[in-house]
Parts: sequence; structure tokens; C-alpha cells
Amino acid sequence: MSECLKYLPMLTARDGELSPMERAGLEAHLGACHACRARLAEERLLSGLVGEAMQAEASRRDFSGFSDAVLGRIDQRPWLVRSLGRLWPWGQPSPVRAWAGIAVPVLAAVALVVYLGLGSIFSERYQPGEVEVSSEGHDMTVIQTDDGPVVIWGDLEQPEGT
Amino acid sequence: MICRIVAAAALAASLFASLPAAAAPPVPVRIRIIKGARDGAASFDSQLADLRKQLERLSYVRWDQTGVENHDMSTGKPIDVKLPDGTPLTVTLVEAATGTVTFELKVPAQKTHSRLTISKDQRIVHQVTEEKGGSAYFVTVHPWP
Repeated sequence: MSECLKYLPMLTARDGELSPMERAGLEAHLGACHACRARLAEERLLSGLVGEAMQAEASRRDFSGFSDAVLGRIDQRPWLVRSLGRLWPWGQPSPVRAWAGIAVPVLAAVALVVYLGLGSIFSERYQPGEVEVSSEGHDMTVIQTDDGPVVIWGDLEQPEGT
Repeated sequence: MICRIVAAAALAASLFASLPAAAAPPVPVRIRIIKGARDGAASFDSQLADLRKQLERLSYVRWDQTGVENHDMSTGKPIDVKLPDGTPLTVTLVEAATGTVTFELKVPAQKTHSRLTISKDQRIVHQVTEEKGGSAYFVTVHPWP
């Protein structure tokens, strides 16, 4: 009986856990002890039942939608929206906020250009000295001077001696 | 949704850009009516000293200022000026850009129409009536006098 108590813990040992001497002793005891062989058979049966039960439990879970769920969590929005969204400091990124992120600096740039007066340069249509005259009843003559144009009706009139 | 946002942003930008233009400061303009005469002793109104170089190019020997008006002109808004003989004259600021300004002068009674662009430091001298008895009226337009 004291032999049985000695080898009882070894019945549930896994492969490699026992030294060769212990394994040899256990096998010799099992060859001679019917009770320990019965106990070993019972342990093996129980271990097999637990494994099967765990397998069955795992099989009951439905993993059919697992891959779809993982893919669904991947951000599929356009790259620009996704990138700008990351820059947005408040809350979750959204297309509205992303486009607002574009519009705000553009508006700021336009305002800056207008306030600096650059807009008038781009919109300048006339150049200094540009003159356009028309008359149904008179000949029009334009004299250009450094101080500005002189428009008279009729032919150019020069002071005598000039 | 995105198209609506882009359209809204473009609209906002155009409105925003147009606001300062609409609120652009008016251009101060001095409009003078002057009379040139061929006959009589040569004389030059001292008020017309800044126009001497331009007026000396003409064969009139006597120059007098007969009227002056100061206006703050906005682009596209015409100013009506009454000439001494009752003839109406319309002066319109067509464009005021950086360093240049464009005016339009119309004498409807004479069916004349001029558009002249000058730099900021120049002046326009323009005949506006026919010569009668050796004298004629001119108008001068001086921005930022």
C-alpha cells in the first residue's frame, strides 16, 4: 500500500516529467498492482473526456463571421480622408471634418491674398497710358505727356515755335 | 455629401474674396473744369500749376479754373458733372488697381466716349466742349490729389 502511495502522483505525470528510474519503478509497480492499473485507466479516461468536452465547447462557438468582423474593422475610407482625419484633433475623423480641414486653410490663404492687395494685381486689366477714345462728331487727338494724357477735339495743336 | 461640402467651400471662398473688394476704399478724385482761350493776354491760373506741362502743349494762351469738385469715387459708380454751358459730363471710375487707375469720360451731347488709364501720379486733361469764340472747356481728372 505504501508503494501505491509512492507511485500515485506519478500516474498523472506527463511524458518527460519522470526520470528514467522513476518511470522504470512505476512500470514495475503497475505490473504488480491491479489497483494502480485501474486508477491509471480511470485517469486516462477522465483526461480524454475533459479534452473532448473542451473540443465540443469550442466547436459550439460560431467563428464563421470572425474574418468578416476583422476585415470590417479595417478603415476602408479614401486615403486623403483617412490621412486628414488623423490630423483632426477632435474626436473620430469624419469626411466633413476632413474637408473642413482643407477648406479652412484655403479660405485663410484667399483672405490673405485679398487683404494684401495681390488680388488687384491679378485682376489688373488696363496698363498706364492705355487710351481708348471714340466720338461720332469729332476727331479725337491724344497727346501723351509725362504728367498724363491730354485729349483734344480736332487735330493736334502745338504752340507756335514748338 | 463631399460634393456638397466642396461646393459650399468654393461658394464661401468666392463670397469671402468678394467682400473686401466690395468694401475697397473709394478713390479720392479732384475734377476741375478749366477754360482755355486763344485770345487775350497770356495768363495761367495759379491753381493749375500742376497742369502746366500738359496745358502748354496746346495753343491756348489763357487758362482759368472755373470749377472744382472733389469726390470719393467707387468703381462703376458714375459722377455727373455739369459744365458751365449746361452740358452734362459723366466720369466713371472703371478700375483702381495697384498704382494705376482707369477712368471713363462721356459727353453724351457730343457722343464722345474716352477710357484712359493713368498711373497714380498722373492727371487727365480732356476737352469737353467745342471751341466757340476762341475758347473751349476742358475737364481735368486727378486721382489721389
